[in-house]
Amino acid sequence: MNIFFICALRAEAKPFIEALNLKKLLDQRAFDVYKRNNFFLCISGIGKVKAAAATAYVLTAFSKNAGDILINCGVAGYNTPLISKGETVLINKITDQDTFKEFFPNIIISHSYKEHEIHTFSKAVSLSSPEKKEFVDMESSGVYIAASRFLYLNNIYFLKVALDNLSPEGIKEESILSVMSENVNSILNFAESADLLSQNTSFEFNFSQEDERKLSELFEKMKLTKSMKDKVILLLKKRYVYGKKTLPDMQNIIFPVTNKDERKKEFDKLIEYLS
Amino acid sequence: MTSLSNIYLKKPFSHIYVENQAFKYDETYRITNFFKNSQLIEVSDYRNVFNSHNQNFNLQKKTPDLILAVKKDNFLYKGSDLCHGYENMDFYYLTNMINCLYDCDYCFIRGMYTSANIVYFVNTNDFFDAVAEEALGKDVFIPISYESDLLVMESIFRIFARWYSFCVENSNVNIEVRTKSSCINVIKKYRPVKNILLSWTLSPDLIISSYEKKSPPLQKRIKAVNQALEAGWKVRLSFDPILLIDDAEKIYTSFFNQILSEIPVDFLFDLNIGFFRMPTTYFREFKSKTQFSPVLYSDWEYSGDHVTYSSDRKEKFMKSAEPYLKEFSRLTKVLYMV
Ligand code: SF4
Repeated sequence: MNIFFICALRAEAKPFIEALNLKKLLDQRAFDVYKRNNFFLCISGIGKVKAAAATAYVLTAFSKNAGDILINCGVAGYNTPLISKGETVLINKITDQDTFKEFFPNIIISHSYKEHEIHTFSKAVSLSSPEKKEFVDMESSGVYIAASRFLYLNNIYFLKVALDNLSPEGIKEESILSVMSENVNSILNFAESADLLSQNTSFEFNFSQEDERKLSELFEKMKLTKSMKDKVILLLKKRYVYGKKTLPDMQNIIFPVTNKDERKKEFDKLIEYLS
Repeated sequence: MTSLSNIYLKKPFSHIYVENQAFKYDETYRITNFFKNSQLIEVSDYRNVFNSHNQNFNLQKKTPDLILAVKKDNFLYKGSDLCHGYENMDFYYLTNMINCLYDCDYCFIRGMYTSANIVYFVNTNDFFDAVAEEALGKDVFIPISYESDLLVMESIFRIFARWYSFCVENSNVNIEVRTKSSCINVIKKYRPVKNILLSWTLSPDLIISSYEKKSPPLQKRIKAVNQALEAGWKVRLSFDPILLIDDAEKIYTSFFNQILSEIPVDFLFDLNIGFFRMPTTYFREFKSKTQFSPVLYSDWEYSGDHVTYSSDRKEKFMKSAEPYLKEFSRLTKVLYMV
């Protein structure tokens, strides 16, 4: 499965880029996207709209499977004794402070982080703000809204490192870099577990790329209609769930067809063979 | 799913979502206290979490969470005009709880909802008020576990206990409690009453182990049925759904034989038999969630608003089961569910 990181700031992203040795994809223009093997990282910029756009952008381009993993990580402001400075928190509820809509990342993984809810604001909040909340950021609701169109909810994670204590003077780049660097290994271990969980709990039926290639060659040779293809695929799935996990050798029993009668004959032969 | 994944899976009920309004009910505090170590997450409307798209139903089934909610309306649904065995009564059904701990491949809930998390409506008294109102001056029949299996979770939720007291006070309210559980101890505490029908779904062991995951084996269910009969409860057996998988004839005839030899069928209230069927509207969603199961792969026939096996396939099965079905009919009332 692919693993995507969405960070608002370069300082949040840098420790991941370095730890994973990610390379910038030069052909991506709308956002900075980095990649190596199945790891992707996109820097969205600050705010939920940019975060939603970056998430949709990167998932449209590189995600093919609802089982892919997406982790939104970055710093967040805290104003509660329940959370300490520098601590990574896994978010279990997001409230968008503009719409008051609630979103629930579906936590199915076993983990050792503290869980907490977060409130996403569209502008920075300070301790003196009348609407201050316990834990706040500016991206989570945007990431959730976009990512939930592509991925299973249990594969979308929000890992926020408590930093700015809602201080009005803003946060310094060095402090972001420092807390993110302290947490990067633990977040990467978490990402690995999330990936393993997703790989081992796939309930969807997918042919391998090689089998897909063989099938499309066969369909081409037989010039099958859509409903004929569906029937063949259904029978193959049935064989699979009954334990016959490899694709049978169908090429050798089928002759190329040139007209409808031949197609019908070959199709009936194939169906009988698979039934 | 490999055992490796179990290492990474959280425990069931690790998260309890509580609707704001549910905090007005003592029941909510009793349940949250029961799950003291779970994360409590407040929700303004339970549907925000339960109805979200892109939930992984199959994974949630492995380790469900709990949603405590308040049912606001539609406490009681009118059933079809006639309910077999209770022809002279008005027939309703209700949903005190959605989803259950078992994981049946053929469950119609797979087609109905996007979530496998368990919803418990804590305002049980509102259900009772609605039933009492509807039952004024007449007899009613209500299956109360229409979208769940209440008995297996009785030690936590105690829904049966409350319905029992309600039925003792309202003899015109007849309820059916459907179950696959073997939790006879739950029932043993109570004196049998004639307006509660305990209804056990029984299946061949091979079907149970492959397609009714997490539910008790046949032998345990048979034991529970026999103990309930001995205690004097009104008991219905359900062979529903019959799954016409490969070798169904052989599997079910040996099962019928076992039931005839191990349960005093003539003491049953009745016996229901039905082939797998599902409303067409749910079937599409059901298919997408059940791709991994042999249950799905058959020559389906769309008959009216339902999807079921082809008539030929059903006929073939009925022919081989005929001697057993005749024997069941000789001993008790047999109702064929269509
Ligand atoms: S016991 Fe009933 S409600 Fe529970 S999963 Fe099985 S069919 Fe569905």
